[in-house]
Amino acid sequence: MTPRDLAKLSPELFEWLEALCEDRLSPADAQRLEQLVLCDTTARQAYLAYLDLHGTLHWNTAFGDDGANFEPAIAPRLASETSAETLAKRGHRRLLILAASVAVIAAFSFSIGRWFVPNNDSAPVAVKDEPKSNLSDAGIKNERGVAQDHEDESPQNKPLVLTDRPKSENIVAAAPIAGRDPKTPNPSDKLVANDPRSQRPFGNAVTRTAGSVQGIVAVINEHLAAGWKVQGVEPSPLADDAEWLRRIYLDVVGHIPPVEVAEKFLTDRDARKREKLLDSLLDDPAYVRNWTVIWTNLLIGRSDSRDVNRPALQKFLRENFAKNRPWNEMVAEFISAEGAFDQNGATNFLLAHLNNQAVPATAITAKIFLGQQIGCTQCHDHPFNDWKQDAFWSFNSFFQQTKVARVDRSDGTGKMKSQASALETKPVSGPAHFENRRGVALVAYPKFAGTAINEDAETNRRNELAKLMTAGDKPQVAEAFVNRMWDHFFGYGFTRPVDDMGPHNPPSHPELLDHLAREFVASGYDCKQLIRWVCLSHAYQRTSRFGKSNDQDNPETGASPLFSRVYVKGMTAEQLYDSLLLATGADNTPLATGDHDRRRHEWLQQFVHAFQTDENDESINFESSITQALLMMNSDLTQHALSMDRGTFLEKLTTSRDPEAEKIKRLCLATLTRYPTPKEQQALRRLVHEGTGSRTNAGWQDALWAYLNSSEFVLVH
Amino acid sequence: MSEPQSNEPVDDSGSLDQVPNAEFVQLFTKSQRRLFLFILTQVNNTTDAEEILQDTNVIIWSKFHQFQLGTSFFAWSGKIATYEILKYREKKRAGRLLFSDEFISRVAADAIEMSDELEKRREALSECLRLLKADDRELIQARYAPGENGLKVAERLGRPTNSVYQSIGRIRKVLFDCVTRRLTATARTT
Repeated sequence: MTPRDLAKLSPELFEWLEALCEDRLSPADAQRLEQLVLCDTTARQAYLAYLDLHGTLHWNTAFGDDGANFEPAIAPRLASETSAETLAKRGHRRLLILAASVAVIAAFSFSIGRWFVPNNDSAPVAVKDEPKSNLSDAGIKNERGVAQDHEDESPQNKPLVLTDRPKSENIVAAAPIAGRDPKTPNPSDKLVANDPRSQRPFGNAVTRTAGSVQGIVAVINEHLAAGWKVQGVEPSPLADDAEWLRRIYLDVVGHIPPVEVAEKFLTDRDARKREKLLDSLLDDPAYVRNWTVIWTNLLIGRSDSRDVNRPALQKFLRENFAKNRPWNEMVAEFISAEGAFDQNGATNFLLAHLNNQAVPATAITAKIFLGQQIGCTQCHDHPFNDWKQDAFWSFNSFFQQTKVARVDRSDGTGKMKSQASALETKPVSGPAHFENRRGVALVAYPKFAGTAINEDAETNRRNELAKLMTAGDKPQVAEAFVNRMWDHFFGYGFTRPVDDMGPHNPPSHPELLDHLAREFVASGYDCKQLIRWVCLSHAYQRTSRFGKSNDQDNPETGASPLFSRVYVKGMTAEQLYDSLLLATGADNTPLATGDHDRRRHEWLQQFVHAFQTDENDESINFESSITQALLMMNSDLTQHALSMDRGTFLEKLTTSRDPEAEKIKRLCLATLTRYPTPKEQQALRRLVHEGTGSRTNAGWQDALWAYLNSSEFVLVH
Repeated sequence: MSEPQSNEPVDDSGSLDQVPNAEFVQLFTKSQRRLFLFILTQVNNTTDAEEILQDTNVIIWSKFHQFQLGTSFFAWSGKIATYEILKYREKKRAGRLLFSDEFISRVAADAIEMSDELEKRREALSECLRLLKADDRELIQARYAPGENGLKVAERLGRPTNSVYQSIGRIRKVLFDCVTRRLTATARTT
């Protein structure tokens, strides 16, 4: 690799490598980097050499130049993060191995006693003969210094440090009946609804009136059917009531249906029961809760790392979803919000993203409200879509007057109690400044979708932006929201990703998207109406299973979705947590309380990692793995989920006088929202009997555990 | 993962069956940085790379008797690391993986092919660091102090984040180009 080779490489490559070194490479750029590195040998070598350089700098400051100074790095930080008890339980085997290997090195160069200094706080074992650095603003003079005051994140002592995070093998070992899981039934085990009634779930009357629910549903049906015809695809049959019920519950209210509801619904003979159920769900308090969770995650993320008032934002969302506030008004509130974050919950969206010259605020506003990815246009024109670099900064210019202020809050006695953040508008005029790729300084005036506004100090730019974004017969805001909703219910939107719309990425059903967006605007941005249209469409009534006639409709392979079936989704962490509690009765707190929300939020923190990227990305390291979820839930709760304590599902089940077959049916219904197949009945009966004897009811516990562990439980299908 | 004979008392004589001998320990010690860098090119995150190294080390120690002295220690331990990376990716899959499996395997293959050149680059790096302007050297040292990253450095210095990112990026690129030039120069003179 010579300088001349490198000169031929795209300068973008080095931008991406830089971002990668600082953990701020966006997934979209990662994809482009990957493309380039895969198809160009020099780029690959540059990638390797650059990361090697980054790693060498990292390694050398931590451990010294050549690894010769390696020994101090293996000081074990025993049991620093969890109690010795947990360690003994989970990490026992690893502990032995490590003790052995550390002991070997110790025997080789040091006396053994030194490594096992009892150390209960989280600080690394002090290394006496290693100079400590004084971390000062000027930087560090001593390259090999070990900074003691950054113990929580300092990686320098890690290479042989013990951690006792549960490893997968421990998790498997902890499952009481691993290997006895009754398999998810084979598709053929389960009959697809062939009740003639369910072929026509809404009764007979489908009158076409423009703007009416039936009229719009009919348009959806026609458009999708046309696509199937062209592609030679036969849609999947209708879902039976059980499958449909579970799905609509998870999609609309965020958890599986309670067993009593399922029993009632499955035996209900009303021809319009699906429509009626949907109406009742839209009026359920859980609807408000579910959409509050979804939009909180989109607006400020799940991580607690940003300075926002999460409860206030949630309160704002709850109130607005409860009164079904028009979506354009909600968007306008977020864009133009002013005031303290505890008094006006809507301010928290921008407060979360105003860091770094409002670059994240610019990119995220476009992404979640307009469904457009413009993050990379801050540095250069978008290679694929219409956004140019100056358009990014013209958009950014709308946030130029916005400042974050700190407000003191007193308790009335005059003493300062706490501080709150607030959004303020400062009378700033003029353009935003930016540099293009050649280092030329340029300016951009506030302009959105071709409309410029007055750039004087008196014009409140965010108020203007809010108006511009939500004006017209079919603003991008409406199309983006329809696309997102469609994605929520079907598992795929009209574009992939759902928030990357534009001429470079045409939608799968452009006319349908256009029609729905217009109807959505005409309805007054009525979110519940939009949900009705989607959920009452024929396509949403279909099963997620597919056969030969439509196996080509598989977006996972990269094909454009045809919606000839409803695609399977994994449960979100919140859906899983709530569904677990609901199925097992593990928590006596009703789901719809602040207390429950707070506990769930705390539970979630262990999965979330926030990045300080230009789009403030965060990753959720959550595998929809029930075992992991159960183990990670605070252990009291887990124990309670499978316990026979008063009020739990198992207690109620085992103390009831119903015959055994009835109980097995109930168990299956409570967890998977369906009745067990004959095979399952048999397997479960065996399981229940094996467990009885020494430990009464252990069989029932095993059976419940098995159901919760099945892949059928963690999927929305 | 097989259980080592950990309940045996460790003695200094170091019988080959019980504990690794001095040569193994030396090879192990010397390979740590290379192994870390090999892992880093595939996971892109120093903290994760360190954790994987740690897991890899556990396996290396539990399997030391399978290593044959005289063969390449790096090749042997690299295979173990590759397996650990795979496990890490499996675990992370539902979260976010930046790069595809194909990418990782191509990069890993090239990393081995390039390992001599990379080793030379590491040697040249210390010279290039010495040549940096004092300000730049201080900034890059602050950036790579344990537990640091660009963002924290910016906060500490009270400079805008973007400008610190730009400075650090510029210095890294200077180092990168310096190393490349030095290597080309040595190639010509030898």
